[in-house]
Amino acid sequence: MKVLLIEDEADLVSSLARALREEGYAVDIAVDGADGLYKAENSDYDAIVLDVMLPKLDGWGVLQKLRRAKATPVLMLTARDTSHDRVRGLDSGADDYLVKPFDLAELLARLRALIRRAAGETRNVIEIGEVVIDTSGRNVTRGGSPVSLTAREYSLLEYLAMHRTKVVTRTMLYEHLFDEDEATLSNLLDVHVSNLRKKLGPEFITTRRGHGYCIE
Amino acid sequence: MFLNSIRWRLQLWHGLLLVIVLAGFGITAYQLQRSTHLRRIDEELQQRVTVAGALARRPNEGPGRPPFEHFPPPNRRPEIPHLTIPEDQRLRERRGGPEFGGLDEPIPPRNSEGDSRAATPGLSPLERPRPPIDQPSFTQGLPPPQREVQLSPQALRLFEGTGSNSYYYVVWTRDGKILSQSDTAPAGVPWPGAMGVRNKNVSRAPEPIQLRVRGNQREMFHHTPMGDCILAGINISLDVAEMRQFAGLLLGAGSGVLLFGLAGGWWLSTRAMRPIKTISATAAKIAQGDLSQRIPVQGSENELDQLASVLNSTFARLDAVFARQAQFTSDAAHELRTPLSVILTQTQSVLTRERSSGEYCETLEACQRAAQRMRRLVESLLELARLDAGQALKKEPLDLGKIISECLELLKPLADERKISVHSVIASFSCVGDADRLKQVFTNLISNAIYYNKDGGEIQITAERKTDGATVIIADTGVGISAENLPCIFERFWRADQSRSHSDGHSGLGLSIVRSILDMHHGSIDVVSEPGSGSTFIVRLPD
Repeated sequence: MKVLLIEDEADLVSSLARALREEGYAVDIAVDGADGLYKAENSDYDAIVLDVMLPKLDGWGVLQKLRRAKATPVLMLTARDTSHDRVRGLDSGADDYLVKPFDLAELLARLRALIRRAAGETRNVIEIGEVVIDTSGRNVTRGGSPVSLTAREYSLLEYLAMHRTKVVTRTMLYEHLFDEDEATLSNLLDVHVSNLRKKLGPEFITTRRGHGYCIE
Repeated sequence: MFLNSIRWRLQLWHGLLLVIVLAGFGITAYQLQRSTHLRRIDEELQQRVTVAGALARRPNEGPGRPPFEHFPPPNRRPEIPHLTIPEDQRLRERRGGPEFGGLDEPIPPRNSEGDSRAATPGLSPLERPRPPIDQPSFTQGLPPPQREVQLSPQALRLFEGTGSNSYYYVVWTRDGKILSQSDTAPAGVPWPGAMGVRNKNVSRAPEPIQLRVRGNQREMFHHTPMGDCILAGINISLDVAEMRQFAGLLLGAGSGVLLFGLAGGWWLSTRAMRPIKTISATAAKIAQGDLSQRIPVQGSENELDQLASVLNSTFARLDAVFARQAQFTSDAAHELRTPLSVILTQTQSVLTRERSSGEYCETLEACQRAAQRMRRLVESLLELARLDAGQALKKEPLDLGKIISECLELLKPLADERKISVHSVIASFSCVGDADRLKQVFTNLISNAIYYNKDGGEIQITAERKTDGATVIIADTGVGISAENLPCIFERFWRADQSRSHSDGHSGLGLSIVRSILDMHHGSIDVVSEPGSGSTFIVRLPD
């Protein structure tokens, strides 16, 4: 999952980005509204964390413009907490609204909820055959016994599982699993896929030649 | 409660005034009526005394002075002109001529002595025929005094009447014997007594007519030079009754008017108090906390409307002040939230797993930065609160030029860092104020001039004394302020770019603090700016 973080407060950005990455998200950063809007319009993100007070274009402006083109889930961050501000945020197109200072755990949970809802999932647990994926705990069991996966492997699995029955192209995987700073080597993906097959069973992920991968 | 109520007090005073006015009016009317009435009666009495005087014995007073001539003339000429003795007749009398014209002349009895006296001029006083006993014999060559015994019918008519309210007369001799009296005279009219001491010499001047009141009898009497007493009187009980009736009428009418006036006053005061009740009801609502209420204004521009307008504008000001307070508190809290969220997120994130000491260091440094920011903010807020509370400024003599120079010295390194050149023309002069706070002012202004300036730019500072105070001008070649933003820059928490990164330490309170401090010194600050070329701040401090 890739998240766009649009926030101008440098000290906040650094710790938030680190926390998100440690959660397994690929994170892109924008420090002003204009840049944020550009990135949001031109890439597919699984979620956007948007601060209201931004240089060049404030959060409301970004949201308004973004909503004309994209339905990406947006979590608004702000110091303003009046009911009026919340209403405004939600009505402008935000999917959730979080007041600073916030607990990190809460932010991460809300983000998960947004992404889950966007994928049509209702629960944090995805069961495919004997494989059970707990998205909140980020752990996988197969037939009851835990399966150890690297962070990248887990992210790939989670993404495919969230989009099961649909074909996921390699491009999409690149977009959603790697942030802009990471060099993507085309065969990196294949390595992760084969590792997953080894750990979860060869039938688990099917390859659609020329299209991508898919979990049935 | 009663004594405190305005309406009751109004009513009381109103009633009191009415009573006084009505009483005064009533008493005056009564007195006027009474004195007019009595005066009329007295005039009548005087006439009658005059008329009855014919019954008195006339002395021979010497040439040409019949007794009546010296009577003090009544205010009005008597209505009986035929009783007045015409001049020529008096003359004839003196000469002793027998002509007595006029029907109503007292009929003088013929006295042979007059003739004989005239006929025998040569006789000595002793030889002359003696006059009648009760007449003094000092007359010389004049006919003896003529006295009549009965008034003429016309005169008598003055004293006729039935019942108790008719005039009467009584004439006594000098010894108190009744000489004559009218039929209408009541029994037992006391003799007024002998003449007063001062008239013992029986001078030419006759006695004045004196008034005597015996209960309901009103009498006037007068002593002739001979000592006789002539009295005319009348019983005025009917008049008294009439006047009492009049008084009663006045009293009744007055009471009626008083009651009516009180009732009218009560109604009027109720009407007047109604708007006041509205005002106090609205004010009560406002006192309970609903500051948006306003007192309805009739639009008639009367005193109550003026009061309502004044109160309304006060409430509007209060409302605005409270709103500003609330806004300020909310803004302050908001400003503090951002550094707080930095600390929270940094610490929470770093604690999720084992970190390297480098990471811990970074986190701690970020926390420190945030804490410093909060400290600056809190200091600014406290300063503003102190200024708002009007804490007394220190009033000490200081050298303004020196203060500005000191601030400049402090900030020079910052300017040098960005290659900003500073030109200053600072005169040294003294004024009175709070040195620390003024330092704050100029530190803020100069640091703004540096911060918002372009690299290699310029700052121009001039400080000079004018006739009405000091003027300090700080001009920079910085980014400038747009015309629409110009009025906002002194507002609390206002920043040119609202979302500018907060970590540079500018909370947006600096200029509002500057303005507050200058306001307390009765000074002012103005700004002229051209976006792109720079801003000029002009500070004025009166003596």
